[in-house]
Amino acid sequence: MLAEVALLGAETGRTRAYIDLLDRVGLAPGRCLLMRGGPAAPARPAETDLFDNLTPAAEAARRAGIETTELEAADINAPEVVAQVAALAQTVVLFSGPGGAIVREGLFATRKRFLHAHPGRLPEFRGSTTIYYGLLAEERITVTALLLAPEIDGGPVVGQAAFPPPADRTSIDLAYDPYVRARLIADVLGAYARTGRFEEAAQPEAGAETYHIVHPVLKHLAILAGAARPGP
Amino acid sequence: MMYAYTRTDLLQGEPQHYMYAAFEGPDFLEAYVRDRQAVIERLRLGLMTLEGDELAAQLLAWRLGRRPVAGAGAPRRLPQPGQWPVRTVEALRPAVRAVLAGADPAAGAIGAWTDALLRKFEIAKRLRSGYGRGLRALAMDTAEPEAYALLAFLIAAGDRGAVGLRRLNALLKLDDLLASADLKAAPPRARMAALLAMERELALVRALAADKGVPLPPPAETPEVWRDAG
Repeated sequence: MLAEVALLGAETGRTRAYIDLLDRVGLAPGRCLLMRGGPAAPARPAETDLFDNLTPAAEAARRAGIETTELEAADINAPEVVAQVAALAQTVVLFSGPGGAIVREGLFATRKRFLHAHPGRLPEFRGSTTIYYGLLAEERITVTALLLAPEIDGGPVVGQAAFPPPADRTSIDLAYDPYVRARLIADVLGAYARTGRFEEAAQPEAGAETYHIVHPVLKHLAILAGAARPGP
Repeated sequence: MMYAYTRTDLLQGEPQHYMYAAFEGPDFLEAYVRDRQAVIERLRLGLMTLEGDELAAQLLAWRLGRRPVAGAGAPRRLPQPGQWPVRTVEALRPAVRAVLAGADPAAGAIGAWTDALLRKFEIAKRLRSGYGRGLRALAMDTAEPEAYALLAFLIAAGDRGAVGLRRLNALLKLDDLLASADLKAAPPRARMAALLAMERELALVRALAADKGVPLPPPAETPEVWRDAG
């Protein structure tokens, strides 16, 4: 267990992947704050071989021996959430908020360091649904771990890894995206556990591009391109 | 299958936010292509006369391959976005005229306006009728259809080379809005700009699909009067 790291999450596939994969490698966070509210998709449990995506996050966390508090809030920046985060003994908080949630000033004012896995190569693929833009542009999926800053996806990078597209690209939202994020987070927290620090690199602004939520036509092209190519 | 993203009027009604779009298989792309082709056909039929609209005539000349368009003229100097208050269409019209006269759509104030309004549209799925200093909306209203059509044209015109995914994404959404809206009362220049933007969008999607090995329905035949001179 990694006692000096907490997890702030919602009931999503990403949170379930973080808990499962980190627990498997002995890096389960020491503390867990779980939001019950928030948008439903892509939170729906869906069976996958990649991680336990069926056990509810709170149950999985308790099973892993993580001290867990469930919050009624649906908004990651709600005063109740901010107060709970501020009260954490941990200074590093693994962020796994509801899809599209953006950390605002109140959470930054707690002076915690929010570790996040972004499914795109930074700084070239900032913003929303970049996993699909990355697939269309590069035929691969790059995940970047960063410490959040007020500028969206603009904080220092602490890790990056490329993954092949899954054989079944229809599984991306519910299974593969959470899985690859969890894989990188496990690597980054493994290094943190060994050294007690993150290897931080500031992002250059040159080449930075911010993407907005992908249009369904582009999403379908990214998924169907997989059917036209052999899988890994 | 119906293409769902143009079924309701996205200009008068609720905007489309495209959150968590479900995967619907290859039929979805077929429905999209057929929907766009139908809207393109409808727009062409409505543009048999241009009602003396000079900008519409210049857009048509540009479309038919006569570039730069003689008579588009030197545009007046455009302010930078947010420099001073301006009605959205009054920033976009001179930008379009400048592009028709041969200016680079991605450079200078034209490129800055296109990028700034693209961001505004992507975030709110709306353009406002005017923007003041710092590019703050002058009112929380919606701009007339012409503003959306001219912005779509500028994005499409700026993407004549490689497909820029960020711009193509915004173009698809702008064209959904234009395809969903009732443009009958819009001036010919708005309908012409929408037509050109949709034609270009479909060509860009076809190029991307071909690059990815994804089959699409074949292009509809272009009527003789709409074929490029070149």
